[in-house]
Amino acid sequence: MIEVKGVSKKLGGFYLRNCTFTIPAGYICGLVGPNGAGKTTLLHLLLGLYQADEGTIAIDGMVYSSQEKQIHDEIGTVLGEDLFEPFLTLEQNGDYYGKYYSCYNREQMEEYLKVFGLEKKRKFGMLSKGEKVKCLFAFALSHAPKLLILDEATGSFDPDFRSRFFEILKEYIADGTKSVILATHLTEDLDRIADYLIYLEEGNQIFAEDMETFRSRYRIVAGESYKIKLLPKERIVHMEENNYGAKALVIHNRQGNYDSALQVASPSIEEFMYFFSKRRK
Amino acid sequence: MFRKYIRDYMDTYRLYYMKQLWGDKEKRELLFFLMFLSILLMLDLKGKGIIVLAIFVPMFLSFFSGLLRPIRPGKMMYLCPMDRKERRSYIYGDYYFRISLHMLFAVLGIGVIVLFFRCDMLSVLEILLNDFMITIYIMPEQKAINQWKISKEEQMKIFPQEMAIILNSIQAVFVVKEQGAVFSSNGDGHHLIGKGIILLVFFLIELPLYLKYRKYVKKELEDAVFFEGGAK
Repeated sequence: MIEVKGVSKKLGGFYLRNCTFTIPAGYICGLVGPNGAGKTTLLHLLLGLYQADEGTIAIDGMVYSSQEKQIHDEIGTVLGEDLFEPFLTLEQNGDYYGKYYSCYNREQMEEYLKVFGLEKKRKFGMLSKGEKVKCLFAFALSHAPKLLILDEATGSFDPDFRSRFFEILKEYIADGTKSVILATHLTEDLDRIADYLIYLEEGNQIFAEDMETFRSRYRIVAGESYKIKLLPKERIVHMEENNYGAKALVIHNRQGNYDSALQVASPSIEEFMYFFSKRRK
Repeated sequence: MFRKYIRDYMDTYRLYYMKQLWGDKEKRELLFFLMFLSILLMLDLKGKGIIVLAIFVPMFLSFFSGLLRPIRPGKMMYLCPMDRKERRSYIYGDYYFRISLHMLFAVLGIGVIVLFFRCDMLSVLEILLNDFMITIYIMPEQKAINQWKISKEEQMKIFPQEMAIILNSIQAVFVVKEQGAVFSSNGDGHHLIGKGIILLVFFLIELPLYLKYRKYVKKELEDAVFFEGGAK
């Protein structure tokens, strides 16, 4: 579905280096990383807003240089900014931008707005941040995209809607032909829903594989520090010690070889990010 | 087709730019200057309000359209399914439509003056030329709302518009004064020659500015085809 090979992009002082990954259809991909890691740059590259200095991006087998229109027709976008015209109503915004999409369905947009509790006659500029995201999400869904790209979409949702939002995403990918890329800081949601994870840090791609690989490759090990230190150094990503013991992110191998006194568990995405970011400091 | 352009024209007025505009020191000074000039003219030219409106309404429409309707579309437009040719045609089409619409208002305004008041063709030409200069106006650096900054270099790019506004204001005074026969051109050959010389001087100042500005406009329009300005 999405094939990114050796993509690099320099933007002022920031440099996104050598991103390579393949997200199959039917996957929800979590894109995580600290602020300034390059998440938005990568999304802009996937959306064709930026052109890569090096490397190639193919979406559903198509490339931007020759099939920009067809690619955009297949992408639904929700970015963490106001994409719609503030002085137009939600309905007018839908009509205004919907006319460019081959599969835009006005009734479906209205239905989603209704389900999300939004009045179609309201002006976009008068909505709260969460409502704006809901409106953009309704529009993104109503032109039947094959790929949804969502940047910081969940941050402004209330807990009720957030769970509804993830249900909709699950329904959306259920037929196995569509994919979602979700950039967020709320990693707990990704732990539950993501099938694929991309972790960026200071423009570097640290991890980009499916969640099964993620869960089988890393372990959080807690216990006495000297027992953790008995593990081969190259397997310890980072270890944090305190008065009561230590906790470390380690690269797991099939043999295990952990001291029986150590507590071993799969890491959450948040723990993974935490230890990786500490390692660099 | 025409209705579509009218709707797009109206829909893409970004009135919230006024807020940013007000926050920009240089632009605020220009706005204050324009307000001051308008009030002064309104007071000085009382009784000739129609002439003032016929000259100033199209001029301000062009000026504020240039400020509040950036030629660079919003981000969403770059995400909509369009190939480069279509996006280019959308951007150029919108720009040319804007110029045509504003010039139509300018011609209508001048038409009112020519039909109902005394006004020589030299003034008409000068006013229309200035209106054209104002309407081709492109605000620099409007890639994003939060990038509203005008450097000294960019100030020079909008200098032709500021000059055209001042010149049109002077012409408005001339036209109104003519009604009182202060500068009557009625059979006064010397006056016409004098006015012709002034117009020629204005024209010779504006022509190189226009030629320089034309290149800048073309570059801005081409850059606007891509979200990442200048990318090919």
